[in-house]
Amino acid sequence: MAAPAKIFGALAEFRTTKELFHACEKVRDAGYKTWDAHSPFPVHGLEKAMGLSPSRVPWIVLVAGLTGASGGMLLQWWVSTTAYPLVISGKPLFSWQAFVPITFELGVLFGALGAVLGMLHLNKLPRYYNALFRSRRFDRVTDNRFFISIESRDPKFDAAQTMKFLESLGAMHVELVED
Amino acid sequence: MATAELEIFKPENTDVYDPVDGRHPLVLEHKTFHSITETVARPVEWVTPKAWWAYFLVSLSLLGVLGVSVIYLFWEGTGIWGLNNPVGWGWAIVNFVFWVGIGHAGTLISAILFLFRQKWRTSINRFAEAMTIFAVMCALIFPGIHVGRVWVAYWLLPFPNQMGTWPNFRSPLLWDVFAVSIYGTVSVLFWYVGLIPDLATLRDRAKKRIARLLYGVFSLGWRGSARHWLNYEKAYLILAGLATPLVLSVHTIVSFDFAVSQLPGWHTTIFPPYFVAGAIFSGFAMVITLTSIARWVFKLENLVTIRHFENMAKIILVTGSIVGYAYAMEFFYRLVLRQPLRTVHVHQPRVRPVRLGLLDHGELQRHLAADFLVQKSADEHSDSVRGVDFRKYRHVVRALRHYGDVAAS
Repeated sequence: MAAPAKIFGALAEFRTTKELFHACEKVRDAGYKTWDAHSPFPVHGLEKAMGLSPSRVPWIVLVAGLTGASGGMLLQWWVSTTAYPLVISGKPLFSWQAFVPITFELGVLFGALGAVLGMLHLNKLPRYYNALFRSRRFDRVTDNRFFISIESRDPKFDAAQTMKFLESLGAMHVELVED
Repeated sequence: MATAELEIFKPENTDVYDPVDGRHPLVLEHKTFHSITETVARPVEWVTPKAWWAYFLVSLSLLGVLGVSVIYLFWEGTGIWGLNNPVGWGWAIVNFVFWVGIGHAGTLISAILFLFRQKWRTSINRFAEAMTIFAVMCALIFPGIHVGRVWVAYWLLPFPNQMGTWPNFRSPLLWDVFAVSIYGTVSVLFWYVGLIPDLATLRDRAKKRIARLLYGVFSLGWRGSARHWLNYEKAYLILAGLATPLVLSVHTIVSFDFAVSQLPGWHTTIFPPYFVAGAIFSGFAMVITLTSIARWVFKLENLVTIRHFENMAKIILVTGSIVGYAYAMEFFYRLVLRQPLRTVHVHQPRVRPVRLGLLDHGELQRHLAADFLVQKSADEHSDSVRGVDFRKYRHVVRALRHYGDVAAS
């Protein structure tokens, strides 16, 4: 009954960050596109070894933060001059100095939400299932092992050849992961 | 396999992991990555000891005392605190300021020390962030219950309603509502984002199916991808960058509760930095208190070392000195102004220091109330809002006292 399983990709296991780093450089130079590195903690400089472009999270935060701050000022202006004008201590209705604290706080709130939701959106998370979780060895990616995965969607992917290539990079273990 | 790991972590090989030579190791006993995971995960995974239930019951009964007290408060009103005017906060503001202040050290450790690249923070930041969240919860109780009629506390929020009213955005109380609730939200976000990879670790270690499912859901499918880490680290950095001015602004706004009033001795510009330093001062003391216990109970002596305590003690020394300076300034003002030490003075342009004598707490409350009235009458009678006529002041205080007596009888 079981149809021949579709291959998700090849998974190579490394022991140290140094090995991972140099392996990433070689995978990048070999011209693979749909691949990824996995580590229990962020390895700084790995984005260069992988040839990744900088994160777009800051732009999301900038837009969200400015939206929050300007929305906060607008709300206070509208409430104080139009919706419910209150004269307090003879001050002008639009006494903007008193509105600075809430404007700032709302800017921070929207910026922070933008940072978290933007990060999750760019990472396509939350997502409960990923084919890599099928691999028992991959459980240690959150402990002390480092992995490179090359997906079968990659035009250069060829099961036998890619596995051989990964082995040549000094991987301690290479396997194919079913989808 | 284990020997291979140990080889990597020999002291002479540390340059592989830390390019800065000669640095003190942050973690003692040359632990491997795996042994650190084991040490950290153990307190979560062990069987709950019986003693824990005993401590939990003690805490739970104290929480019960809070519940009963709050019900009594709702039934009877804020008069049970000795508060007899609608302007002052009384006892609630003391608790509020204390708890917000405690929370600030957590954000300082997680955000400011992160921006300053103080790597030692990683051993203690999760404690501190959890402490912050609970402290903010405690703090948020007090603005909620001090309004007396708690069932209308939602009037503080700006939303269209059938009464056609909106809150007064010039009031420090409203600034507080925004500052503290946003502070709580951002603290939770910061804490949770930091927790995602750790939850993934627990998911991958979990033996029971239900635990694996729950950790799996809450770790959002984290798989340590380098592409994810790139966005994650940027988001974390930005959160730290946002939380840093936030934590300073929150306690500044808390100090505005006092400083924006016209109360003699409170209406000073030194209050914001004074409050912020005081918050970090007492908050770090709380972090040390909690960390000392957690480190001992959970056997984390190799991760949270004496060096961490040394660093925290230095921060306490600095912030304590700032608070000491602020106290010294209060005495200094009086020295310069040639007033007796126990004098509360109005320190404002065009107003001579006014001697009021030693005030007790109740009197302070009444003066706070009087201050608002004086402010109002000054507006009515002249174009200046800064002039405070002492005779009028005394008159209002006397009137309020009379009112208080009538109300009490």
